[in-house]
Amino acid sequence: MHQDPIHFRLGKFLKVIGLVFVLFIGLLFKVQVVDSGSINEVSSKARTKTDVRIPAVRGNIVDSAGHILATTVTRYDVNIDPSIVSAVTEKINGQDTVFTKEQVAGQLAILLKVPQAKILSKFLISGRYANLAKAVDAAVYRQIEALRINWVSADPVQKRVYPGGALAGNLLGFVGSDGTPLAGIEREMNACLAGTDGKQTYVQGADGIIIPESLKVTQPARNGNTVVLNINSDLQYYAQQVVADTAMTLNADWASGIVIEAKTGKILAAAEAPTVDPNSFWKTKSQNLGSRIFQFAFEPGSIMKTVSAATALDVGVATPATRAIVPDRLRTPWGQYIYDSEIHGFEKLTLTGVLRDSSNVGIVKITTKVPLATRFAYLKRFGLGAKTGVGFEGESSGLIGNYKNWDKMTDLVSSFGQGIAVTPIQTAMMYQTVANQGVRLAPTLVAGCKDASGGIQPLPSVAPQTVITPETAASTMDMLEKVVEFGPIGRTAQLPGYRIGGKTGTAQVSQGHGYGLLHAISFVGIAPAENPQYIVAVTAYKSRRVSNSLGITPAFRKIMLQVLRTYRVPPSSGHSKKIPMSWN
Amino acid sequence: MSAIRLERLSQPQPQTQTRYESVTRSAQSTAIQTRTSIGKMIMWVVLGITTVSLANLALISINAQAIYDIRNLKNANEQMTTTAQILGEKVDSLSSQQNLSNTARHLGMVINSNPVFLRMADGKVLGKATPASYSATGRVSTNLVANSVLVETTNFAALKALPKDTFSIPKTTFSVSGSTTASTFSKVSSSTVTTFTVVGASPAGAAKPSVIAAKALPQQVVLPSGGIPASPTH
Repeated sequence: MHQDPIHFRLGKFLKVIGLVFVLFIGLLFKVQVVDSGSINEVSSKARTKTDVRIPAVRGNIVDSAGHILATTVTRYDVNIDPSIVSAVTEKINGQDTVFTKEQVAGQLAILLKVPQAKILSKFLISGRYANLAKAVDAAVYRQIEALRINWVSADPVQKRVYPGGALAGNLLGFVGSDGTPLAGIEREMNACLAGTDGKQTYVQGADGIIIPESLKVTQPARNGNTVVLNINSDLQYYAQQVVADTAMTLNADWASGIVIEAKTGKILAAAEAPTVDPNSFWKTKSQNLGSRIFQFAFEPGSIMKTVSAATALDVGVATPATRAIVPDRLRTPWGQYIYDSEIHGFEKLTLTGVLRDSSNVGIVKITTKVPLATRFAYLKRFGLGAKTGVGFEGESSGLIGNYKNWDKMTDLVSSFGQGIAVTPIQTAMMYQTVANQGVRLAPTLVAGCKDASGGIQPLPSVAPQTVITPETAASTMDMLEKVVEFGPIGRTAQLPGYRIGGKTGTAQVSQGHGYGLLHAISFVGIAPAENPQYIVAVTAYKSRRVSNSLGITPAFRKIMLQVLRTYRVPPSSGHSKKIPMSWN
Repeated sequence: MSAIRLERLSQPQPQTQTRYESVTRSAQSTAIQTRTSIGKMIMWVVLGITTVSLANLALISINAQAIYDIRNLKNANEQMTTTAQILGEKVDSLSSQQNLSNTARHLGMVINSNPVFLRMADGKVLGKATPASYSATGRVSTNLVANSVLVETTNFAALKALPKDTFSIPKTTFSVSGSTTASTFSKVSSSTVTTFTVVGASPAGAAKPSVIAAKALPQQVVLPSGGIPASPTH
């Protein structure tokens, strides 16, 4: 059969086309099926980002009312690509205006608060990266962004911020530039505050944009939880103001003020001066970076007479009316002397009168009737020589040693707070024991760890310890009230309308070999005396202007008044118990 | 192709070959039908592929646009987050104890060292109502608590520029209801501030005390310079 040439050529053409088509199909098969694995791998490597870190946000630290004391914010590291640094053209009033590199450096210098010369030197760095400033705040970042300079970029970074500055700085601690907790609550409660970083995988387009469907969170980030403190930040601020003022006025090495809730052991304020602003902790002297309230032990002085008197009452060797003839100095059998702070004749005082006048001789004469081993046991029961259980990192146990190793003089002077060392928080908790019917609680600074659901996980609690009987506690409280009512210095701690119990303390400060001329002056008070609710303990260490507790009672008065006002404690009713303070 | 063949087959043929032709025509007819249906099928496949390709192209374009839209929205979100952070830090600064203290000091506020309480149960006033004075206990010196992250402080010039009656206290009668458990209010005279705190709930039937505000209330207490109220909350 004859075949049409056109038809023939057309058939051939179609065959060629078909062949090419089959070839393409083959190639397609090779690419899509045979080589797909390797091609996908190459492509993925180029565009896929795996295990990209999702940073977890560190949790906040808040006070008892939820006010933020520490938080994490976004800051920006401002960088440049020196390889493409050039003049910048900007349209001003419709006309292109060129800014030279030097002019741009000037603008950046103003915004970043960095010398212009330093920025210009960064322009000369070889390579594609140079950092101009670290952790600039969002407002500055916004201004930099508005300059629209294509060779300037900003990387977001997390930064720890303490909105209250030095408010509770001694308690909060701080974190390093890499986010590592270095001190205070930040370090102690890191397990609660630190989150867990997450991981994600995604594919980027040629222009760096993440392809939405490709974004897969392989491990979600878990942000840190919130640490809730018992601190009342307004009260803390007030107390810090007072102790800072006191330290300056007295020209003391430092001063502290503690507020404790008697029935719970909660630390409502723990103020110190000098202290640290955790936002710029590196500017603070190293000795002021911690918290002396928990970490510094010193000889407390007459503050301890309360413990000695309570011990004597509790073991039954004395009552508040126990009598003693008290000279102004007492010669020991081995020839050394114990002195009262003032020269006086023989006085006929009761134990209450001894406390009122803060007589060293009187307290020695009455309380050394208690066997030394028993007195030492009571010191331990009052919490001395051991950590309080507050859990503050680096807390000192104080120093009371073992009575068996005490010298003869320490046997006696320990009854009025020399020869042993306690921390300010231990001092406050001794009085908490008296205020809480003889039951000592562990002070609590941290209320707990609050998770995202709002539930608060409290910290492990320390069991309360009964130290003295409620009757002893009540009698001790009665005597302390007399100190404030009639004591020569104690009365300067009075608050109009309120019944206060308290005790002064003026301790010589050891200089290594003997005692120097400077003193640690303290006052610890409890209010209201008829229903003890709050303890305020204030101390000024090495006061150079006033060498006795007269210098510290104004600070006590201010803080205690603020406490009573803050917690709406109405003025007292009734009068103190009648107890003889002297006899004939 | 099919058209050419059909044209050729439609030409007149000799009658003698009718039987065979009819057979041939029948076979040819079947082939033609088959080819036609294949052609249609190819046409539909091509049409389908074209449609799907175009739809795919449209989807890719829409998707690409969506990616950029998402990016823009994310950028907008970041901008707003940044703005919120900037404003938040300003609020933190303005509400910090340091700034409030300084502001209170600047405004001449003092703290009353003699708190007075009104007991709801019997209307008894607890405490001695003593006017606060500049020299009263309770004051401390100027702000001594450092804060290096104060980014915003009270603008006193702007405060002064406000109309005089901005902070005036209207003449008010304070009625203390029985459900009130604790509240604080102040009676202000030209040179003194006395703070009352109500404690406890009023029992049913008990006389409900009320405190009448002083008649003309000045904007603020005029005091000598220096000294601050110690706490921003009282």
